[in-house]
Amino acid sequence: MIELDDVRRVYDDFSLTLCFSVADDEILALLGSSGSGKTTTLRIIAGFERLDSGRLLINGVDMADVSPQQREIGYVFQDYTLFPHLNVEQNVAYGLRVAAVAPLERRRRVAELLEMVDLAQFGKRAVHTLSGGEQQRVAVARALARKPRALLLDEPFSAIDSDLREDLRRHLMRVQRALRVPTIFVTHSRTEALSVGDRIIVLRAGAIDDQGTPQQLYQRPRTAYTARFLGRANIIRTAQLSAYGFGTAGGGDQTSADAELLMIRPEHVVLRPAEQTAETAEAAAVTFPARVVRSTYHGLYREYELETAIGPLYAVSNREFSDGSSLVAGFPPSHLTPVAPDALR
Amino acid sequence: MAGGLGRGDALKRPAAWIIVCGFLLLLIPPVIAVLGAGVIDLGPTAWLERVRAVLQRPGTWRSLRFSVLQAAVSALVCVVLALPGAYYLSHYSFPGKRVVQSLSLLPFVLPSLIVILAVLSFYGRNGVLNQLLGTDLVIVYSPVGIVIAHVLFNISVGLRIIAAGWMEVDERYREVSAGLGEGPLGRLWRLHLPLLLPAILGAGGIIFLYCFVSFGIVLIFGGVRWATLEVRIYQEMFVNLNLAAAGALAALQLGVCAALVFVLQWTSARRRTGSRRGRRFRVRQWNVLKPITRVICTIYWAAVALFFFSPLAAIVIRAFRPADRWSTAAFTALLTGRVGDRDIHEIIRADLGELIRTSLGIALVTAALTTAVAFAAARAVRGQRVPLLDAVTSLPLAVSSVTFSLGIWLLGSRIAPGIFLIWITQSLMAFPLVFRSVRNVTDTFPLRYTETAQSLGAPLWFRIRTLEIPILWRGLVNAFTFAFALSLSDFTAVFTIGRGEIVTFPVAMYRLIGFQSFDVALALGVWYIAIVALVFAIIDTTSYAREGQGL
Repeated sequence: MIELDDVRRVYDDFSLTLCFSVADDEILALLGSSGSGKTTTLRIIAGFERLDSGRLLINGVDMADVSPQQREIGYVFQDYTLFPHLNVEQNVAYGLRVAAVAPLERRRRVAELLEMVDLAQFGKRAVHTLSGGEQQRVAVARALARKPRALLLDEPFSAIDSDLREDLRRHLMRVQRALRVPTIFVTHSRTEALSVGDRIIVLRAGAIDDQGTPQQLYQRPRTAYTARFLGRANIIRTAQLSAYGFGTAGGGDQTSADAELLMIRPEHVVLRPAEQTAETAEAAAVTFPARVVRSTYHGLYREYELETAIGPLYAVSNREFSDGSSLVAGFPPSHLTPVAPDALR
Repeated sequence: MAGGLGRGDALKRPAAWIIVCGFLLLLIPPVIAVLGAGVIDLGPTAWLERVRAVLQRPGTWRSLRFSVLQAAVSALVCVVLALPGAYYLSHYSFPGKRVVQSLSLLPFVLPSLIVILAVLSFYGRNGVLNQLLGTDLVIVYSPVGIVIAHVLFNISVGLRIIAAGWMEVDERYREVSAGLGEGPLGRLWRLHLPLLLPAILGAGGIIFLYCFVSFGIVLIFGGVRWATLEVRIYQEMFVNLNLAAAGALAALQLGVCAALVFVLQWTSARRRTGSRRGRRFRVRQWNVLKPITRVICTIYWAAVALFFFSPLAAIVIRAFRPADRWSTAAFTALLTGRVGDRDIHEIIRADLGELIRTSLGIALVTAALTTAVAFAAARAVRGQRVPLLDAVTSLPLAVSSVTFSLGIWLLGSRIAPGIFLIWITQSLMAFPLVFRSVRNVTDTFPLRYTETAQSLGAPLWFRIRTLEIPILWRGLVNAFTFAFALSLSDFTAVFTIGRGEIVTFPVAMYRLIGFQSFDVALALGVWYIAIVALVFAIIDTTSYAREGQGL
């Protein structure tokens, strides 16, 4: 288990404050934009950055005076940093050599790891001959060779073709489940965070903006920032909705009505042609007129930019409406989520 | 954000200070020993009197003027002649390019005595040029001879530095300039020369320094009439035994050189500010060049080969044709120790085996010591820009080897064996070039490799042994080779500190020339070139072999 207890790191123009933990069988996704402190968080855990205050515990042991080489943490860098003068086997065996593991045992363990990452036939290959995905798997095998107490992955899929990413994500999850090692991976991709992480922490300007399971964060984000970061979100002032039935009986709960801002995802916005007002009202308690400004085709669905009485909105639908057409839009109250406003740090 | 804050710098700053202080502690006392030589013997008043006297001598200022003039002319000629060659080396792939690149290591490998012999063999009264032209020109024992020898010695420095400068110029600038309608001459004047200026100044400055403190060439070709400050320091110290005068002259020389070193450092710091990100550079193949370009390129290299590289070939020819007849007598003499009634081994004060063992032994220890110290220092300041460190570690370029060797000898001759003092002296004199070379290499080592190895549990020495040395192997070997070559070709330190007891190739050649045994000296020069070529081939092959194994 990894625990960061009010950890702080301060630089001239940036400070990082963290408080979270990762369970043994958990994959935690650290999600954030560039400069939010994701990589620095990994580097603090790995021991490459010192703490200014707070405590970092791994399996209950305070890491304050433990050097990076003694922390027993597997770290996979964004570009994998496979040692160019060693072949695949030698790279995987590097940590075992450090630990002076006997050659026979070393060979057995390397073969086992390469088998696990589906690279059993690649042992003698020079690392520069491997594809990005293969290099990533070698780097993971190398990081796991010494049975680390935690696995840290910095943007592990960023250098991989999008076609391969899905396979590699599944692969990583399978390996992690098999080894039950607490894993933190850094990403700026919400798709990766949502599909791989058991839990997601959204970092913003050096602090945790929100955290929860992928479903919680996507459906019920705490802040407008997280709502937008995890996907297209309509953020609406609650006051603007009261004229359209919100807050009255059947038109939203009290918590939502008390909130300053509400969020609804585009896929939850109900769209009907103007003449189907009644059907819309059945599906959504809050309804109002809308006009299509622009539509974008995405294959399975169309995304619409709408001009409405409560301001611009996004909606998706598999129905086709032409630009300029008049519609009725509606919000099912159960999908309206109160969110905290953006407070720029 | 945080990742780019250079957080390691503050932690590593003390390392830079330790290196600077350690280096100055080794460098300054010997220089002060020479500058202040005579104070203890004469007392301050008499010492000051002598210093004043030497500074009031017209000859002193004449020597300073001549030192500056000959160095400036040599540097100018080198840079002008090297400009087209550097362009060809950097932009074209032409037949024999590898040979030219190898020859560009010459100044680091050849003792000045071999260059002197080469110039005499080719440009001397009985030289190849006079024989080819059927003339009787006497040009070598004059400032012209000094400049010819300096250009021969240093043109390859110009080629190397300016070619590297050309390679820093982004190919796309040329395309943009052409797109804006600029012609080739306008582009050279308004675009390329300003971009190349730091490299040109850098090359010119370094060549100026080498020529300003050059000793053997000026001593032989200039004699007493055309003496530089360096020659005068030697004369005052060893001929006139006037330590105060030698110290005053050394201070004068050091002032000029140190000023130039700091200017060079400043220009090179400016040069490094340019971004290399996304830079594009293309080498054109020989067969796609226009015929006229190929002809001009061929004529250029033929002329350079004839006037600057063929004198070296003349050494070999003259060694095998001592009296206009093909003969191996000079080589046999080196082995048997006798030529006529002369005992060659007595003249040299060593036999050939001892000579090779001593020369290679000193060079190996010096090279290992210099490379190891440079590597440790470069690791300690990896990734940092510390202008003061760069300037201080360049200071040996400003100190003449005669001054420094004398200082080391004055301070250390009673407490340490000569060979130890020679190692220290040669290491310090080679340090600027070796450190720069090692630093360039260590700065390319990604910090992430270190961090990955740390996360895998590797302690410092394990990381150095299994990662840094194997990955940086080629660069370290190059630096070792530099140091090895500089030590092998060193005459001044061995001659000044060894006091005749320690005999290396350059010292042996000096003795043979002194005893008018030119043929045997030439044969020894051929031996020297052969051994150097063999050692370099072994080093080169070994490091390429390791590279082939992924190392």
